[in-house]
Amino acid sequence: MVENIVETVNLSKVYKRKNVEIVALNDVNLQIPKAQIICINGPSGSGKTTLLNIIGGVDRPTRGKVTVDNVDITRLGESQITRFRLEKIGFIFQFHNLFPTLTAFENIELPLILSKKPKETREKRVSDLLEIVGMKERADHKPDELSGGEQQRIAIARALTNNPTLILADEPTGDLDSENAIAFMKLVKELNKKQGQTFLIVTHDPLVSQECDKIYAIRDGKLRE
Amino acid sequence: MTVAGITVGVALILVLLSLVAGIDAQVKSSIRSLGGADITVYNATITGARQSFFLGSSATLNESMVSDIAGLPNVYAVSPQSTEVVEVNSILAPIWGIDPGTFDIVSGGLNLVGGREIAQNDTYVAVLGKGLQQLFNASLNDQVSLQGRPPFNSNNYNLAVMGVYETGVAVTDRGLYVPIGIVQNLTESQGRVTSILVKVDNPNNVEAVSSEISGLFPDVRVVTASTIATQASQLLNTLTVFFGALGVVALVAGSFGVINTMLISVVERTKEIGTLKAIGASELTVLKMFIFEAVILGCLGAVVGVAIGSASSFILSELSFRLLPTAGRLPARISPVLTPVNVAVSLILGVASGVLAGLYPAWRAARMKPVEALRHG
Repeated sequence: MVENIVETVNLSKVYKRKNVEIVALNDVNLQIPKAQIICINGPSGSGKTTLLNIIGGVDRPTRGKVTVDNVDITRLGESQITRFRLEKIGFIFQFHNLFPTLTAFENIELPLILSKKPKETREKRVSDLLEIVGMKERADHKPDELSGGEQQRIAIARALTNNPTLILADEPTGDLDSENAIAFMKLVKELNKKQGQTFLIVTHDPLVSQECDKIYAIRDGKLRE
Repeated sequence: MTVAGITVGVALILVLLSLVAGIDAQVKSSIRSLGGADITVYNATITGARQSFFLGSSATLNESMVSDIAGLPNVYAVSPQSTEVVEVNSILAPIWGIDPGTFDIVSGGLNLVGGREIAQNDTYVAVLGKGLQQLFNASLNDQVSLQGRPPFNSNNYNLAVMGVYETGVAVTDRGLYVPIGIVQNLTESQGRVTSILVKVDNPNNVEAVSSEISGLFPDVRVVTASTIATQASQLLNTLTVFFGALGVVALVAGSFGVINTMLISVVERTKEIGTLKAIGASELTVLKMFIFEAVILGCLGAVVGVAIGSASSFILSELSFRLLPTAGRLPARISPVLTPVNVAVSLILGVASGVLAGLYPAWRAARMKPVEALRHG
């Protein structure tokens, strides 16, 4: 039996906008086994980003529960869930969301600063990560001096920084050409194989989906295999 | 632009503090330069230099009053004084004619920085203020020529420089002390003096003696050191309230500028804040970041404000020197006093208002929900 890193039970999210209720998630039950790459497809507005955000602890469900690493994160308080995000989750965004005023090195270093690691530890870890994502030579460049593919590599390195249990990626190839999208998935597979890193990727890019261990589809808040 | 308000506020407060300190110092040394005289008796209507400037001589008190006052109980010593404006080496300067025999006892004497004081049997001698001495580059025993102002411009004297004094009050230091007879002869006011300095045997008797003098001579003005101090402190209070109010208004306006800029910057950086929180930055971390930014803005405003404030308090004192006709006996220059404490107080006020203004935007940033922040742009 494979250990599940993430488990959602009857997860629902309902938004209220001007007295109209929008059901973003409707009784979602999802299990993510360790060291797997899971994809979630679905049209925009189907609730896939909401699911990702709830699992990542940046959004709260209306009903149901989410356990990550055997911890029910829906019960965590604000400061606990902040720690949870810092230590257990790595985020990769569609537009990379790097800090434009910081160099590649500093962007990767940020989570280590937030978790108050000493300088030597940080420098060692960041240069290892730069090595892993093949960006050693670009360490001192600002994001706007990097290509889209390079920026995404830095974003991956940042997501990996604190050795997270789970990496969440929201349309990670949405802003990349197919060559870079393929390279991105190659890196994901490599990290998955070598380090047993678990990924949950929201995408509608077939280049991504075809590399995943399991694909879910979400439509109108309902999850299907 | 953001920090302009804080800058202006800090500058105003610094100007306030340094001018008040300057005026305070001026008043204190003026009181000191009145000599330790407990009571000064003037003519009731017009004082000193102004009358002498327009009407020739201001000496209207009869010299016989000196012995009358000296005969009052509790009076320790009395010294007549004639203060006028004359030309010294063709330059207008205030001149104090004193009685060498009693001046020291009543006033405690001059603060000499060279030479000696006027002795009882000196005749054609002068003790110059340091400013005047520097102006003429005069050495001891040099001659200075004195000439009365119209209508007494035919009267003149050549005096030997016996000593140099310094009071720290610019106007006083640009004058000179001579035996009282010289002034009386220059202004043809023999037998009359402009003021009478009185020393009382015990400070507790100052009020009693001064009312006694007022009773004896209803036409004169009797001024005690404490009345001068009271007037000065009233002026200071007025100035403090005025500049203080301006400064506070500017600081408040400046704080709104900072609030506005920081709110804009919070909105502009919504996505960055969202990312930061998503990757695990706590509310406290975000709060600290924005407060740090406010501190930087506050410091910037405060430092620039201190620079502008220091500069403008000097300019202001320069202007007050040139524009105000009289601030006392002669155009008085108020030298601003920039003490480290004043600078520190203004800096702290500036930084503090920046931080206070930053609190709300920082709190907004910290409380931002990461999901909503990420959805932004």
